Amino acid sequence: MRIRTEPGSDRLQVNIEDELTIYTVADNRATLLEQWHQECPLEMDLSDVSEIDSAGIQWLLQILLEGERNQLSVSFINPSQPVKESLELLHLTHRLSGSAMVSSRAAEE
Amino acid sequence: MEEVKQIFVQEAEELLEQMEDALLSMEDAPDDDDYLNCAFRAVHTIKGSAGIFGYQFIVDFTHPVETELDRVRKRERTLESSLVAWLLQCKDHIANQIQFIAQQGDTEPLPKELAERSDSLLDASQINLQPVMQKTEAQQLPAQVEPELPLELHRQNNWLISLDFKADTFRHGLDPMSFIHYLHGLGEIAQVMTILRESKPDESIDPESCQLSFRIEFISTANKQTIAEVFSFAEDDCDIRILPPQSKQQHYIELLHQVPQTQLQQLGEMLLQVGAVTQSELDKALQAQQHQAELPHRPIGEILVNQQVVHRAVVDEAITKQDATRSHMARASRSIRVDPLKLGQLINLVGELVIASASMRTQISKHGLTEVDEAVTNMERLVEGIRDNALQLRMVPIGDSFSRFRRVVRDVSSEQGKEIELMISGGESELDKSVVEKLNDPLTHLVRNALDHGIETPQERIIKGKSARGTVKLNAFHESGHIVVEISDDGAGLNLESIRRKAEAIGLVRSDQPMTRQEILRLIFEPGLSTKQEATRLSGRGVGMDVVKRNIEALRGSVDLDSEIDQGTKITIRLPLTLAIIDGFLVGVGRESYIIPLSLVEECVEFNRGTWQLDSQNNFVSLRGEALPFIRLRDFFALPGSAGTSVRESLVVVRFGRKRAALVVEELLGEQQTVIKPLGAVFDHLQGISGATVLGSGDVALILDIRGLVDLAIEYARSDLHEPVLGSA
Repeated sequence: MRIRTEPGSDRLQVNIEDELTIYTVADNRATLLEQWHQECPLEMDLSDVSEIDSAGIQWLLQILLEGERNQLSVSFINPSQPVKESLELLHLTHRLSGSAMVSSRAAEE
Repeated sequence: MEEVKQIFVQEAEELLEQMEDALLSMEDAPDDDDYLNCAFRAVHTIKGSAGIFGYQFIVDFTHPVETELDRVRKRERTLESSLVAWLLQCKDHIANQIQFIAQQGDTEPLPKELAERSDSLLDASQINLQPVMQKTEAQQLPAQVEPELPLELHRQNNWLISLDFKADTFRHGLDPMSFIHYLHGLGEIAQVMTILRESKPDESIDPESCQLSFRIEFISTANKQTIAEVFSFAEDDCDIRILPPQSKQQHYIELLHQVPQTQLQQLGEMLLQVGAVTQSELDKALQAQQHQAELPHRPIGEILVNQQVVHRAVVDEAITKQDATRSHMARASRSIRVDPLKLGQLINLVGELVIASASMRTQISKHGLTEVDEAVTNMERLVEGIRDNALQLRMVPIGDSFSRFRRVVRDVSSEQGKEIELMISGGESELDKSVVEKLNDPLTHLVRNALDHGIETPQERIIKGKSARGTVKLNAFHESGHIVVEISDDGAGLNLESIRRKAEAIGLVRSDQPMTRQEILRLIFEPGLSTKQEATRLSGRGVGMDVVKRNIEALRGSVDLDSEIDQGTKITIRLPLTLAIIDGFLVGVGRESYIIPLSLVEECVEFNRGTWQLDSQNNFVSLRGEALPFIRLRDFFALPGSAGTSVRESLVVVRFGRKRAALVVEELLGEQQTVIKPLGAVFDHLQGISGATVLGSGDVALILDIRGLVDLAIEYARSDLHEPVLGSA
C-alpha cells in the first residue's frame, strides 16, 4: 500500500496494491490507520487490486462508513476489473463510485 | 327410513354434545378458535343432514344460529357471555327438536310450543345482542400484515432471499460473494442490497469479522429446495431465509389443498411436503421452539412466519387443511356403530371360549398329552388376546360422563348465586360401557350434593376465610383392576355431631355406643339420613346416599367418604373395570374351589408357622409381626369335615381399597381366567359371594366377594378386641 498526501491539499491518497482479501485486510487496515486518523478526506485508488473477496468489499464499506461518521469525504477511483465485477455483482458500483463524498442516503438510491 | 332416522338422531345428539362442550370451553378461552370452529361445524353439520332428511324446521332454526357463529368467526361480532348463553339455549332447543323427531312419526306436525320457542330464540338474537363491532375487525388486522421486509424489494414474482452472515464466516474460509455468484446460475438476480451491519460506535472495527448481510431479489423457476441448496454450505455461518414469491404461495396453497385427507400430519411435515419450507428451515424452527423458555411453546407455524421463511397465507392454509383432516378422521373413526347386543353376544361367546380352553387344558394334564400341549398353549395365548380385545371394545373413557357436569355446575352456580369451578382430571381412564351407564346416576347425585350442600355461598366462604370461588374436583384413575373415581369439594364438610344426633334420633345407634370417626361418617350411607334441613330442587328428594351406595355395590364396587368440617368432602368410588371376565386366583378348601379376583390378591403365604400364627382367640393373624384380621373359609362356609391339624393351611392376603385382611385356605391352585356368571336373584343376599364361574373341569366355583369378606373380617376382629384393629382408620 502506497500512501501519500497530495501537495496543497489535506487529502490522503492511497493506492492499494496486490490483493484485497481476508488475508490482507487486517494489515491494510493497520497501515492505513497509521496515516489516516479520520481527520482528512481519503481517496483510494483501486486500479492495482488484483483480487478482491467479500472481506475486501466489507473493508471498503467499513472505510466508507467511518468517513460518513466523521463527515469526511471518502472516494474510490479507478477500480480494476476484479473490483468492478464484484461491485456489480453486489450492486455496489453506484455506492462506491465517484469521487464526491458519498452519503449513505445517496447510496441507497 | 326409521333406521336412517335413528342414525340422524344419534349423530345430531353427538354433535350437540360436542357443541355444548365447545361453547362452555369458549367461555373460558374466548381466543381459542378451535372451540368456535367446533361449535360452528356442529351446527353446520346438523343443518346439512336435517336438510337431507327433510326436517325443514331444523334447517330454518339452525341457519341463523350458524350465521351468528360465522360472524363471530369472521370477527364481525364479539363473543360475550350473553351470546354464549344464547347459543346454549339454542343448543338445548335443537336438542328438543331432535327429541321430537326421535319420538314422533315423520308426518306429525311440529308442536306449537317448539315453533314458538324457535321464533323467540331467533328474535332474541336480534334484540339482545350487540351489533357488529367494527373495532375488533380493525384490531385483528395487524396480525395479518406480512413480516417486515424492505418494501422496495417486495415484488410479485420474485424470491426474496435474505442472508445474514455471522462474524466467523471469513475465518471459516467462506466467501459470501461466491454464493451470490453461484446464484446467477439458477436465475436472474434482480436486486441485491448489500448491508454492512454497523458495529456499535465504541466497538473497534475488526476487518476479519464478517458484518455483511444481503437482501436479494431473485427471479427463478427453480424450487425452494434447489435454491436452498446453493447456501447449504453456509448453513452454519449464516441465517438464511428464503421467501418464495407470491405466485409460488398460490401454488403451495393449491398443493396443500390437494393433500389427501387420509393421514394426520404435523404442520411442518405438510409444509415440507409441498416444498414451502426446506428440511433445514423446519429443523431450525423446531429447535427454536424447543429452546423457548415460555410455555406453552409458540406454534411452529408462527415461528416459521416470524423467521420469514414462509408466508402466513400458506401456513393458514396448512392449518385449515390439518383441521379438516383431523375432523375428517375423527368422523371416520366414529363411523362404526355396533349394536350393544352384538357386543354382548361376542363377549358371552368369548367367555365360553375361555371356559372351553380351560377345559382343554384340564384334559391335557389329565391324560398327559404332551404332543398337543404346545398347540394348546399357543391357542390359549390367542384366546387371551381375543378376550382382552373383546373387552376393550366395550371400554369407553369416563371423560364423557364427567363433562356433562360442566353444564350442571354452570346452571347451579347461576341459580344459587354460588361461584363454583369444576376441575376434571383423568377423563381418559377407560371402563366398561355398561359400568359407565350405571355410574351416571350415582355420580350425578354425588356431584349435586357437592354443589348443593358442599359449596357454600361466596359470603359464607369469605367469612370462613376461604376464597369466594369453590372448587369441585372430579378425578379418575386406574388401580389394580379397578377404576377409582373421586368427587371432592372444598366446601362445608360434614358435621359429625349432627350426623350422630340424627342417627340417634331415628334409632340407628344408641347414645352410649362408642363410634370411630369413620364409623360416624359411614352413617351417612344409612337410609333415612339427610343432614340438610330443606331439600333443594336438585338434590335431597329422598334419593339418599344409601341409594348411591346400593347402586355402586350392585356393580361390585365400593364407596368411601372422608370429610373435614369447613375443609370439604371427598368421596371415593371404586369399581371393577369390567363385569364380564376377570383374572382370578383359584383356591381350594376341602373339595370346594373358590375364585379370588387376582387384582385384589396382595400376597400368598404357604403354610409355615415361622411366618404367621393364627390367634383364634382374638381373631387375627400375625404375619411377620403385623396383625391382620382373617376369615377361615372352611368355617365361614361351614364346610363339612374339619380342618384338623393334618391339613396344611395357607394364607391369601387381600386388599380392598385401604383395607386388608387374610383368608385362610387349604390349597393354592393358581391363576384362572374367570368368566363371571351372575348367581341370580335368589342368591342376592348371600354374604361373601359375588358370582360363580365354570372351571375347566366343568365344576362350578364361587367367586368371593372380597369387599364383603374384608369388612366382615375387620368386624370379627374388632368385636373381640373392643377396639378398631386396622384398616379403616
